Amino acid sequence: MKLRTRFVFGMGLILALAALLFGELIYRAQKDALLQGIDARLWTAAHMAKEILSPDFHDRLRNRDSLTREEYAQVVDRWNRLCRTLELEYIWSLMEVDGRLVFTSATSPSKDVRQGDHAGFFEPHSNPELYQAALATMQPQFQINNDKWGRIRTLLLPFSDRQGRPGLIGASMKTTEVDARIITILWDSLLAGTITLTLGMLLSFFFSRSLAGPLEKLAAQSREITQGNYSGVVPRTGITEIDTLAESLRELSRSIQEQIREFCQIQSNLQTEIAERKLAESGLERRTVLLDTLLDNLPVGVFMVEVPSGKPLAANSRAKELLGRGILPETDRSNLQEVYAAYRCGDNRPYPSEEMPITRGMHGERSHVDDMVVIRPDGSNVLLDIQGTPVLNKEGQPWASLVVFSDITRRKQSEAALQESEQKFRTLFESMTEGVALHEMVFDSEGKKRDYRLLSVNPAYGRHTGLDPQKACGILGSELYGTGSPPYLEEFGAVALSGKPFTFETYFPPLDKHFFISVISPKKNHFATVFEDITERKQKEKELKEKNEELARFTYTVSHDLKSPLVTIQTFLGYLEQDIRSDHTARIQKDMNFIRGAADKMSRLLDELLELSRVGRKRNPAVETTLQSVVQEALELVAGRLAARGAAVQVTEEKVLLTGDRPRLVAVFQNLVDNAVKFAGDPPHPRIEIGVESSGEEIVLFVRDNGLGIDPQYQSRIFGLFEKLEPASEGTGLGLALVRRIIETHNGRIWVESEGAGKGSTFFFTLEKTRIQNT
Amino acid sequence: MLHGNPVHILLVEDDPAHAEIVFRNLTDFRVANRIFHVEDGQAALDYLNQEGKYADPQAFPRPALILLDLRLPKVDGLEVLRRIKENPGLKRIPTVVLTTSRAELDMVSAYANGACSYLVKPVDFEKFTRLLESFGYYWLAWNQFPD
Repeated sequence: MKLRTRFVFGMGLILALAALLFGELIYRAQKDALLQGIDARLWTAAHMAKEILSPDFHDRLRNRDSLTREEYAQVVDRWNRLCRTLELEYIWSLMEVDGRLVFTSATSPSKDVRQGDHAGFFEPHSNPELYQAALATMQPQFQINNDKWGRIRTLLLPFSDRQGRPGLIGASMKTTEVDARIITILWDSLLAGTITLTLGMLLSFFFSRSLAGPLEKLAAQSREITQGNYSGVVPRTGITEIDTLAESLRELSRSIQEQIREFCQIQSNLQTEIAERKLAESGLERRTVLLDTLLDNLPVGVFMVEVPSGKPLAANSRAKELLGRGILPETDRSNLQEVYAAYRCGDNRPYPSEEMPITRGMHGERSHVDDMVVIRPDGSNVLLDIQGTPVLNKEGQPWASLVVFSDITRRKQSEAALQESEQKFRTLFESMTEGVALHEMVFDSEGKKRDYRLLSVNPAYGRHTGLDPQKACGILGSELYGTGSPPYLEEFGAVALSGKPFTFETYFPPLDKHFFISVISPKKNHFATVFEDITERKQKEKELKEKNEELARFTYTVSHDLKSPLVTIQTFLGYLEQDIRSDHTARIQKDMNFIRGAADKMSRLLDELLELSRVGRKRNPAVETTLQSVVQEALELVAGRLAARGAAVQVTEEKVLLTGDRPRLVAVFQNLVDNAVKFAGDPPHPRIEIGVESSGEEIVLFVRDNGLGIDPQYQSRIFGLFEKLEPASEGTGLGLALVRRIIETHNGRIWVESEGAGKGSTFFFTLEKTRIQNT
Repeated sequence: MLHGNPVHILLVEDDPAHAEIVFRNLTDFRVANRIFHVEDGQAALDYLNQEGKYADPQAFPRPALILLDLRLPKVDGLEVLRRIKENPGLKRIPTVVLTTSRAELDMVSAYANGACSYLVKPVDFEKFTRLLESFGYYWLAWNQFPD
């Protein structure tokens, strides 16, 4: 609303109110003055009427007959005159006689006693309740009644006669005339108010016009400013205050323009700051709620006591659940152990108070235990893992001690089971006869298998490989075995990547051993090798294979060589029959010689085969003997042949001690000397030398002759079964096979050296446990 | 009797009794045939190569047929066989193995090394003489050799 309108409207309102108030005041003053006049007149009239009566007028009244008609008329007449003089309407008196209110006097409505229209003496009043209030208080009372007489103002003046009978004198006057006068006054005052109002309105209109005009412009300018338009100009008005105001407004406008950017900046900053603070405040609140919720939903128990009293401060729901107790008020630092029934796992003795994490936290120490058992009130146990920590104030002093704990009953059980299982596997791992090694693959930058690293090995690994298990761990395969490239990288890598187990047998040259290797992959890019040193087994297998081959050869040759004389015998028996029948005497002898020769050969074969088989199976107990005594016995056995051929035997004088199966050792020399004589060839004086040579640590015995010698191309065959270089020579071809066999059972070896035919031969051989005694 | 050309046979046999059996049967059969007997593998090779004491081709002519035992001193029968078949000048000479061995391995090896027949010496007079008789008919009568 415009200032001008508001001004005019406000002024109008004020003036209208002033006029109304003015009228009302005039009205009230006039009305009160009139009423006070009336009341004074009524008061005077009532007292005068009383005085007109004789002082004992009412005391004498007993009944209707106490006053004569004339006496009564006289009283009424006097009162009529008084009524006319004072311009009253009616004066009357009433008295209570015998419980009834009766007129004792009254004026005539016509004010003329002769008209006889006044109330009769002792005439009961038709409406006695009108006076009950006045008679009850016995105080003068003004009333206004609207009755058939019009608007009436009445004064009731109570009294009592000497006998104590109550009565009253009433005086009343019509106020109709007064009202008419009051209305006139009211109209006059309204007229005066209206005139004042009109004049005031006009005046205010003009006043507001001259003052509000420039103010409105200022207001418009201000509005422009508020809307961000600072370019408006307020013209000068000549009114000092308004011009000053306009100037101020301009200044203000400029100032606002200048500061507005700064303000905008500040506001922006402020808004940011407020927003941040709000966020922080709400964050803090949220965090509090969050913390509480978190604490009560933590899967671990949280319990806190005050320092130094030891009184519990907080326990979350998990803590109550685990301990079976919440915050117990009787708790202090001296009885924490008892109140919360803390015992040590294992010996079940009360947990030492000073070792409890809660107590240590009170001393400002951090601690961790996992051996506390709490017995809950229901008798159940719980094993706890407890972390204790002091809560420090700003000065770094503990003001509370906090423990966080969890139920590890199950974990301990499973740990124990795991440990047991681990122990079992560890024992297995440690005591396995197979070597076990765990590895991880090593890849190059392109993801290709490059090497592998040993992670763990068992003691058997060390035994099989001869490597130190302690040093093997963490080493690359290529370095450990000194092979440059890691052994079996492809095979191991394939298992580590595919997870498919793989087993193989291999000869590993760096260690000169045979291994049986099982490769498994316990997890991706890892592999374990379980290996067994099968070198011995391989050796045995090789030996067995050789034995089998030898056996096959043996069987073959035996069947062949035994069959051969049978063929001879059978066939020549046939010829013998023919020759006897045809009496071919010359051939009979020949046939029989063939048969005899074959039978002899067969007999020898069988003997020697038996001997050969005995060498391996049946051994005489090993004894220590001298080379000379063995040779001596052998020479005695072949003495006949030696003598027949005139051979000379020379035996070393060195004291050589031999240990072994003596009869067999004799057989060795017997066969070798026998052979030497047999293949002595043409020399007139065959010589045989038996001696000993030391070659390093090895003691080598030899039997040398100057006989036929052996072509190098046949030297490898001569120790074979039934091998004979000379078909015509006697013997079965088993001699050297037997010699080799005997030497092998003494863990020795035999070989022959000969430069060729006609250059003699030397048979060398070794025997285990041979030694030379120095004299 | 069947044809006039005598057939030269090289008998390689270490057992003199067995050699005697072969001689008795085959010389009875045809006088014109000549059997040369050697007792070991090395001697057989020397003979065939006409080396050492067998250097004279008149005295020791190339045989048309070789009768070879397998178990021989010095050089084994199978080795002799292998070397004969390796030698271009000798490989066309039919070689018949005559042995006591019934071993499968011997038989297979013999054929693998170029033996053209494998005969096992029976432990029975009748059979042995009949075997040699049949052998004689087949190789010395019916079979044709190049000149």
